[in-house]
Amino acid sequence: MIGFGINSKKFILVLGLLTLILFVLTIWLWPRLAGRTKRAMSGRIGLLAVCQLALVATVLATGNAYFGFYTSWKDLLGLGSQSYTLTNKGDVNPGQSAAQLASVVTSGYGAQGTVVTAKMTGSRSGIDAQLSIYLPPQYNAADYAKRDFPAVVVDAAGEGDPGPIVAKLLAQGNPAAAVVVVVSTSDNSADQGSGISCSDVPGGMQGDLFWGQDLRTAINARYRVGLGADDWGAVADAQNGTCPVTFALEDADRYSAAAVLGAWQPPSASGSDTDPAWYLKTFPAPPSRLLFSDLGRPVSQVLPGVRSPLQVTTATGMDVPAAVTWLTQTLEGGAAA
Amino acid sequence: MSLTGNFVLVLLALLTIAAVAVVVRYWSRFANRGFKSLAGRAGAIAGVQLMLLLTVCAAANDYYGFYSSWGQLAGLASGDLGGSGAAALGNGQTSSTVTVQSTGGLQMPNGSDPQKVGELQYTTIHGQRTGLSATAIIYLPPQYFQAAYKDTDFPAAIVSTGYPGDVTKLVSLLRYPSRLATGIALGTDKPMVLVMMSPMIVAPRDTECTDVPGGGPQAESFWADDVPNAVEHQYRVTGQARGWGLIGDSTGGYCALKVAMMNSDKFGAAVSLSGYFDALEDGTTGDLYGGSQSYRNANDLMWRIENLPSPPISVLLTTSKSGEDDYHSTLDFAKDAKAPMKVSTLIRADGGHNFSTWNAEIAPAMQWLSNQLD
Repeated sequence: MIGFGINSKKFILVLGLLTLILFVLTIWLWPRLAGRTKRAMSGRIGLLAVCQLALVATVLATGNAYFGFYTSWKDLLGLGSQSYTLTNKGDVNPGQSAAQLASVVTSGYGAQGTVVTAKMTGSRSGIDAQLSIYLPPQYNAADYAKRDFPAVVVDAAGEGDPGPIVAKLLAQGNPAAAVVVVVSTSDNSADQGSGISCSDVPGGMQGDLFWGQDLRTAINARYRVGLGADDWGAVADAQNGTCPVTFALEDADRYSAAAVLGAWQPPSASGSDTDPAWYLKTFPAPPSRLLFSDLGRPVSQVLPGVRSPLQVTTATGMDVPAAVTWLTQTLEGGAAA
Repeated sequence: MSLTGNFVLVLLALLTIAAVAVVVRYWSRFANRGFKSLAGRAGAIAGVQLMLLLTVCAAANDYYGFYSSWGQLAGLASGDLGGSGAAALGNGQTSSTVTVQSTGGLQMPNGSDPQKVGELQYTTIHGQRTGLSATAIIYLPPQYFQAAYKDTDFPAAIVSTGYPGDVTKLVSLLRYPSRLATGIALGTDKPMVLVMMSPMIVAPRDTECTDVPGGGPQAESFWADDVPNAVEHQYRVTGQARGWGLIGDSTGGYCALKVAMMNSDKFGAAVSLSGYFDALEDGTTGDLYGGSQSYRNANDLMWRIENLPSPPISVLLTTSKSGEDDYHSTLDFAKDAKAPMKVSTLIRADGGHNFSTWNAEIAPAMQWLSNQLD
């Protein structure tokens, strides 16, 4: 059978030629089988049948070779070896989510709360960041020992220094019961203003893997914070405002609330996949909630097409702690108005 | 008149027999000399052959389940691969849902009692985020109906056909539910819920489970977000990544591996039976990557494993030394995967890209998968 493999050109060519020959032969013999005898009758049926068989075989062999179903006669006839080997390599370390955080330093501030600083390396994105995690005083209180907390992510990438934000959180009189994760790029001043991309940039920064997956799993593994979208919100200033809006719209399965402080300008690449307004125009509105504080313009000018179940709220004069409070209430099902 | 099913098949077979009978009966009319007579003979033979070919194609489609409706065939023929698919804009739906059309028992040697063999639910899943909808057959294992498990959230797996593929074949031909039920009864497999689907979500387009840029169907998000959300909403199924897996053959295998690699915070394990790694583009896919090579790379699993950190998932890749053309790429992928990814391979000596191969691999693959999930 060498050379006549089930998917070889040679085999298909032979079948094709055979089909053609039988076709011509049938036409040629036709008049001789026109009689009324039994022989003529069975001759007709026989010739027709052989003609058809040849064609069907040709078509099946061609289809098989094209799609690559059976590549050997042995396989077709079920004569191939059924043996297999199953090899395992590596194992997913159950602690790998938590291991994304290193150099973890915890500082207690009594009734004001706790601040944890850590270096983070996203295991999926490979992106490095500096985290300042604010745990509210309730986090360590006995009443809350078995409770999960919502989490609010503060994108402070543009500012470089999370210090002032954390100081404000510690200083507030009536802190929201949320874990606040302030994200800045790692102590490299060259990164200032660039930040971490909001979404995965093909061939570039995998921002969506970072914000959507790495950061959330790292916090979830270390603290009493769930992984549902209704556990997560994000806030940023106007300069970095596109990220929270993008999360709540395009990654609504991971973030369900977002706040932007100041006169946010939507990205200039309007009409592209990274434009929140375009996204909203093109796909169903998600069940997320947005807050714009001091936007300075009607929402319909920066984000047209808002509709149920997406809800948008406007406010004035909010700072980060106030936005955290609003997000916390919203995530806990409280009034978003 | 349904494309699949006995009616069309019997009709075509009868027409074929009738065609043969007519030609044999009126044979002598074309027995004369002359061009007209010759053309008549050729036409008669061709007509009979056409009928037989149609019958054979319908029988093959019935058996293997490639296309399940006339609309899919018409779409392919006209080159209309299905538009954006995100039609349900602004419908105000607040979460993804499962609508159950009917339920049925699994026919097993020990009867059809759900507590013994589980239950099949024929459903449509409506995605909130993507606006896409798809047919799914959901298998609930026997334990789902047993009192001892009434507070248990079960692990779940999306099970996929190849492209083109009819979801009912996952039950009747590849027999995922009965194989799982058998494995559970033997103690080799752990109970899990199966969500059986076809990657042909916007039929007949082959989306390769891709979020198509420019407003195209968000097929990856449908599988990664909408399907788990809908199922978790309606059934006692876990919301943990380590409890969700994917398994499929060919295109379904590529999809399983891709969705798990891109969404490792939602899926813990994937099985790719004879899957490939490259991002396809052909006549049935249309432009899936918005003309961007970088985005195409992002959908190329070999590119991902070579250029991005390996995600924290367990995967099983199956292939054969002889009969499959992904043998070397499978070994390359396994070699390039780094911690924290677990890569298992099931390599057969022989076996092509066909149902007999997958039928032989599904039992060990399901055993592997159900033991990765919890």
